[in-house]
Amino acid sequence: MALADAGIPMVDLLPAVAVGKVAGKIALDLKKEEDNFGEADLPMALVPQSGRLVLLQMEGHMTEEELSQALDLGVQGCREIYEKMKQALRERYAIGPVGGSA
Amino acid sequence: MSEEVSAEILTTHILDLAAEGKRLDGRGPDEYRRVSIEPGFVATADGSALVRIGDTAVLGGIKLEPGKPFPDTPNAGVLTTNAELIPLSSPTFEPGPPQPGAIEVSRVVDRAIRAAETIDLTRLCVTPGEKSWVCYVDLHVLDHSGNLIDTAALAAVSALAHTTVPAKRFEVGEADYPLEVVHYPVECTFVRLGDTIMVDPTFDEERAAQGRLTVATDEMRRVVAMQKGLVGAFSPDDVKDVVRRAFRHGDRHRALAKGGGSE
Repeated sequence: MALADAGIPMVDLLPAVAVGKVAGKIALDLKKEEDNFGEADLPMALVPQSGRLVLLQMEGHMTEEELSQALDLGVQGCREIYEKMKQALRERYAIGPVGGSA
Repeated sequence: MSEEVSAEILTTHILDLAAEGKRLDGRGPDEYRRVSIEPGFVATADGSALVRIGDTAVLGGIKLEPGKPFPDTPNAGVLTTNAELIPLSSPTFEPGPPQPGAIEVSRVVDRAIRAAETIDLTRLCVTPGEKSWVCYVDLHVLDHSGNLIDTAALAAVSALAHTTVPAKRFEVGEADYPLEVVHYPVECTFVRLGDTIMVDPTFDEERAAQGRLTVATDEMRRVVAMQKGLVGAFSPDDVKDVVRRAFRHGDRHRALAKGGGSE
């Protein structure tokens, strides 16, 4: 976001999120306790326009089914963050009413 | 011809072949090179295995020594994994402090061994808070011909499966006994070359790759670790496909890690 704010040309914004497995359930955006005591942790970063993951790590244990679910949830989370990122940039650079301060 | 120019030509060729689902060495996209495991390769180690995948060779060695448990895990032994890429194994390796590649190999292997709970660390504890076994997993890359991670992980697990705890020698117990391996994690690495995802990349394929993904599975049909490496990316559907394939290859390699031999 700071790079975008500085006007540095980029291919895309890069939302990232961690998905995990806590008490047998797949959950988005773990907090510290969940991360420390959960069964699995899966951080990821998405390039939204290509739909591809550039960062993907995982540690813990998950079944194939749970992993698939975790990936879908993470991508969905990244897309939500992506919208927020775009919105924040638009608001920052919105042109105010004529004569008003920037 | 300079090394960079020939590498670029080779990369183009590899990508052109991949578009037709073909590879330089004639393998299919989902085919491993020959895998062979020789447990007990080094007689002086507490456990060892020499693993080859194609021309890539990694020697795994296990050393057990009495030491002190970490303060935050007083009831558990200590496990440390270290990988060394010796200069003679590849023209790209230089002597000196650990290269990022060596650090990645040791971290990814360590993560799989730990997450799969390959060995029960609490059983390596002798006296809680005071004395426990320290288990060193040393990985020596003897020849780098691509896919170091899978080769090193097989070497580590196979060496652990053939380790004797030297209890008598260190006067910790009456007799030496075999180290119990509880789970068998196996790593499986893929690279994306255009729209095709190839398993077990060679050195040249890794250089041409648009992303590398390693998936570690265990015999309980769990995914225990993943690592995306190199520059490049994978779609979520690619990842799901890779996980499916990793289970299939993992099951075959697990049998080898336990008993040794080749396929």
